Amino acid sequence: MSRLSSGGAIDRRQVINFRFNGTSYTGFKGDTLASALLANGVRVVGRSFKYHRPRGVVSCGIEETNALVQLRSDLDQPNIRATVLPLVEGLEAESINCWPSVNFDVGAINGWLAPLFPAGFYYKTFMAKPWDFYSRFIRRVAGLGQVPKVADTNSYERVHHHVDVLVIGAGPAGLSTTLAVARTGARVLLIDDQSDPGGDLLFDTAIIDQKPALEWVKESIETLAQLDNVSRLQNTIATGYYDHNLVIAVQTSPDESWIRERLWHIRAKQVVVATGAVERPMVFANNDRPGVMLCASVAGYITRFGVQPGKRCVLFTNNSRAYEYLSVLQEAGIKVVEIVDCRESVDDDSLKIAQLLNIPVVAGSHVVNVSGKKMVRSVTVRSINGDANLHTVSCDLVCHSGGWNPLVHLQSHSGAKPVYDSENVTFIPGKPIQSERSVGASNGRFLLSQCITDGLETGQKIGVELGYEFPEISFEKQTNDVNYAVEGFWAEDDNTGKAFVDYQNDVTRADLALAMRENFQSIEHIKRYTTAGMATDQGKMGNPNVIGIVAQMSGTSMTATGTTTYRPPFQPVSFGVIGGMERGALIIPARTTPITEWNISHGAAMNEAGANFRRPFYYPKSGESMQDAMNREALATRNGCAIYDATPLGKFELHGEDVPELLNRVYTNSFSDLPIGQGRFGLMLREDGRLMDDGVTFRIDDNHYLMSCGTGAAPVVLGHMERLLQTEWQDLKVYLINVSAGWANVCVCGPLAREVLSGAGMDRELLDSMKFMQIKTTKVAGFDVRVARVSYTGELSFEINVRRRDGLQLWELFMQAGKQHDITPIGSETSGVLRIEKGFVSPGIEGDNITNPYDAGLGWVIDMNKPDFIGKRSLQRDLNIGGERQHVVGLLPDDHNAKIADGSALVPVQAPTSGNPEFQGHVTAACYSPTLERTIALALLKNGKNRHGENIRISGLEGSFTATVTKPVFYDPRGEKMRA
Amino acid sequence: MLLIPCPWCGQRNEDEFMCGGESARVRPDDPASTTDAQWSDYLYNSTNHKGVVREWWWHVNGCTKWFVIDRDTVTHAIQPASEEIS
Amino acid sequence: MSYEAKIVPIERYGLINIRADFSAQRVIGESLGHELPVTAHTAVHTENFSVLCFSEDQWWVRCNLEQETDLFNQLYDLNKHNHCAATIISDHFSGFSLIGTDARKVLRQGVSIDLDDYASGQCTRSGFARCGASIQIVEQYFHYDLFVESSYASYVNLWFDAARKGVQNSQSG
Repeated sequence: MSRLSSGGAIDRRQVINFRFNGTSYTGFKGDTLASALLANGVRVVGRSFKYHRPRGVVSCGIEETNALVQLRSDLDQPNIRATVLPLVEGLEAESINCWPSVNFDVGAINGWLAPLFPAGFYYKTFMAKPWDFYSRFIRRVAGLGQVPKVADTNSYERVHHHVDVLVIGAGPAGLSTTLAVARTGARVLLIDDQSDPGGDLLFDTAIIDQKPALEWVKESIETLAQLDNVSRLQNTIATGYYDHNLVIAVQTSPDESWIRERLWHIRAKQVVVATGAVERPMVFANNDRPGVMLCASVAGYITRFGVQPGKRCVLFTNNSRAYEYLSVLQEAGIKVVEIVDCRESVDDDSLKIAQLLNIPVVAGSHVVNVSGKKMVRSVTVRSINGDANLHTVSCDLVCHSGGWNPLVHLQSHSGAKPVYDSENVTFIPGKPIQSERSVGASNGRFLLSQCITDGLETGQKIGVELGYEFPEISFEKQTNDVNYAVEGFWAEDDNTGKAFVDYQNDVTRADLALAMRENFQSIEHIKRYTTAGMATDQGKMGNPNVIGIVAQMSGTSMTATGTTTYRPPFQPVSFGVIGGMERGALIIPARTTPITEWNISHGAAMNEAGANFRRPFYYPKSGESMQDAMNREALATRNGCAIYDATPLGKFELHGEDVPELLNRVYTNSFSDLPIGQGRFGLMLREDGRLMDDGVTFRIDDNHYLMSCGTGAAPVVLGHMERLLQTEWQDLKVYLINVSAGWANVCVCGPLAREVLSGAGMDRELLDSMKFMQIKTTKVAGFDVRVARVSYTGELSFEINVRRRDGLQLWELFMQAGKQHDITPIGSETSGVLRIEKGFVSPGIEGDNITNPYDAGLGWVIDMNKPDFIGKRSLQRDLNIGGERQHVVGLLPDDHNAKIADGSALVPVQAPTSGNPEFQGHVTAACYSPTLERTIALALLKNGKNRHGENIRISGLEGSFTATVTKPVFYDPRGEKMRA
Repeated sequence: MLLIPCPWCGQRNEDEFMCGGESARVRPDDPASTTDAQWSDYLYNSTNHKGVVREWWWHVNGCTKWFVIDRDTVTHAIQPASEEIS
Repeated sequence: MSYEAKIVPIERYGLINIRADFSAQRVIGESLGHELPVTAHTAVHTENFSVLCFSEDQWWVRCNLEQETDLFNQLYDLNKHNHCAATIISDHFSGFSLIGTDARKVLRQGVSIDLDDYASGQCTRSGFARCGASIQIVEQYFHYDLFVESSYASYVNLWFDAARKGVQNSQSG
């Protein structure tokens, strides 16, 4: 066992049982899965992505690349980092990317075949057959974890939040900043990814003012808790930094027990990034063996978890910071056999520490290889210059440190590309573009005293900028810092073994060399060709190594080589928290009318139609197929009486003395002389002369009009007119008011419409005398109603508009009155059949980016004598250009029962002898017409107006059919029925 | 998610708005006197400038005002337009 | 387990939309017996009705349903000689009262405006859930009246339920 008998922040009184790869283990509350596995001596945790090499825990934080598991006990989640997974009772996890087990993995054969799988191998292989052939096999072996087979039914929340100052990270720098700015009274939010505040201090043995650093943390938290203007969130990780200081953060385990995770959209006037830094590995052959771990992480496991990751270790470093952990290692009973330091002259502070602890330092040397496959057995060390000092050291643990990488991801998202700091051999945040600052290790300031001082200064500065007053704060803090000294070092490749630069994607030093040999010179190309930095860890540990090696190989500077761009998310984010509440019934904002519930309870087949409305498609009686229902409904409309809900249609009130002028400018026809009580069909074009919408506008009073338009087009039409009134024609006195949802619109139509409506109590005289396109106010059964005589079905038709709250009652009244006439509710599918029979062009179906109203047979609505209207100039341009155009036509297939799919192509009847047939147009809408007892269709056909009577072939998904081209109207061409 | 400065409502998230394109595209006073080429240019071409562009925005989920802003297409810095374009 | 907040449909209210230019505003103010509020997000509250300002030429008059017809007729008459328009919109919108100690925690899920900026008695229009809303701040943080287009009322009911106690526990589940 590797658990120390005392120490750590774990609670040894609470034993936790868990299973890993089917074996039962115990750990303590406060452990992560990684620390518990290490404590139980489990060294091999997974297998690598490409080569299936055995891998163990490398770090103790978010930057972990190797210890990824499939979490069977919680939604079967794949690729969870064991280092950030809190140990809970009953946890069950498995290694990924291995079969049958992590210790004996058939996939390891890939390691033997490694020469076939260098970087970019898939660009050079898998070409003999189409990709589909290979992808079947590749899918089975590709990827890391498995797709969960468990549905996630948890609740997730998304909230919007505003603050003056957002501080990201509650380590020493973030806490100091918050302490300073909080005193000003500004609204401050401090977020931190760990369950407790303190950042790296939780894993460290630092001293502040002669006390353990965690006591300072405790006091600071207590101070902040007293202040109303400060909020703090733990378990909350900032994952993206967007325009205008928007930061998105994911909070796990919020206080509200019914919420699993909460997504915070935080808008801050000032952002402070105090996200710290992570340690960088050294690059040497077999640096991925279980037991090769980051130096500070090993110390972290000792300090925070009371775990001893090994017994005999070699320290390999290029910097002084690694020496600060030596006493922790020794006190935990680890024998540090020697320190291998690549610096020729090691700094005095480091040498002093080594001397005090009696550990030999081998300077100017490097580790060149590691032996052992599932566990480190020994390392080989050699001088950097020449072969001197070549020796082997047996050990079971290698603690390496190649320097420190400030976490500059959020700053990069925000637009500040990282810049190279040659003194610290690392990349630090570039000049901010937004109202943003970095403090502490995230800013390349690695000493604790610097973190605290910078934090206090920054907090004060922000307070001043925001215009607040504040009392003085002391900057003096005593710490046990040692100066940071580092030298960049990347050995040349010597083919002794795989030296990894990206653990998770199995990218080696040799891969970088290969990419450069193949002339990929830009760091962007090298990244993508080798996939270095593209795994789920996004290169947090390894990217500076990649850049260092590329710079060295190409003989350029780190600055010239540059970095790639970090993009959100900073770390993996669950789909659940992204979706939030928008799932199930809430995934679209389904809109309803007062008739919607009635439709559902009367068995209508419901569907989502335009503008998110839930519409009835058709109303099947028991035993009816969809086609049966549609036939019955259409025939009832033509021969008897039908009823449908037209409430979703757009309705706008227009008020003002310039309404006729506006209408003249937006419609193609004239509205100057519309009498009160009269309506007129109007065609609205886009500025490019294409169909926008059609509708009917009525005049209600002197300066009061009512416009109706298609459901889906309503927001477009309103936006179009508002835009013109506010940006182009500000002198026109017109007000537009949307009243679409305020009126329930029940349409009763068919030859028996008058009988049904008068039976319901409407004035028969009014019904008889109302002319086509008129609008009248009247009463029925005590309701005030507006009756408009408009027709979208081609039959005698009355739209009765009543206040929305009375809509259902009115509908039921008509249903009752119509019983004796077999009144038939009809759905949108049937409406489609009726419109096709009549050849009523629909801007959304026959209209597109080319078809103009002349093509659609709507030339009769266009008054080119008007001085100007929206679309007029473009129509003139169409006429000027001329040429062959597609026209709306009707089609009568020879096979009366042909099933034609909308969108089918129109081609010549005779197939060509070679090549593809010539495309002549397409079917816009097809249906079976029960009135004509045969299939009919509307279509766009090249030069269609001049081809009536010709034969054409319809070729589509349902098959190939010959048809005759006709005028685009199949029933009552003169419109006598609707004008009756 | 840009913050758009509505002159009436103040700073609001961009999903309350619709963008109306460059304000420099003004509808010709007399379309009939334009050539086909000039008319096409008005319909289809924008300067698509890299840098500050003056644009119309519509606060559809707010006060419903149309207004102009100056937006830097590279940095996304946004200012209310210094003079209204009428 | 849920947030401490309840959502109550607003019943029997009258709502009249007013558009008016600069000179018509004065006339309307005289007719109502109170100047129209002209500063953004402000409202005036009298014994019989409230007038909410949503834009430089757009207001709502909110009253009891019983008063709506008379108030409307009174205002509609002014259309004849002034550039203004009065429209009854109490059916076009559906109202919800969001009330409770956690009202803010429910509302912040649906709006992205800074709720610290809108004080009791004020009003504004903003994005809300997927449909937008006109909001009357009855008591900042504790009581908000929201009006959404009626075709969205059913969706908004589901939305509030899920926002209050989670999708898993609500009907939409």
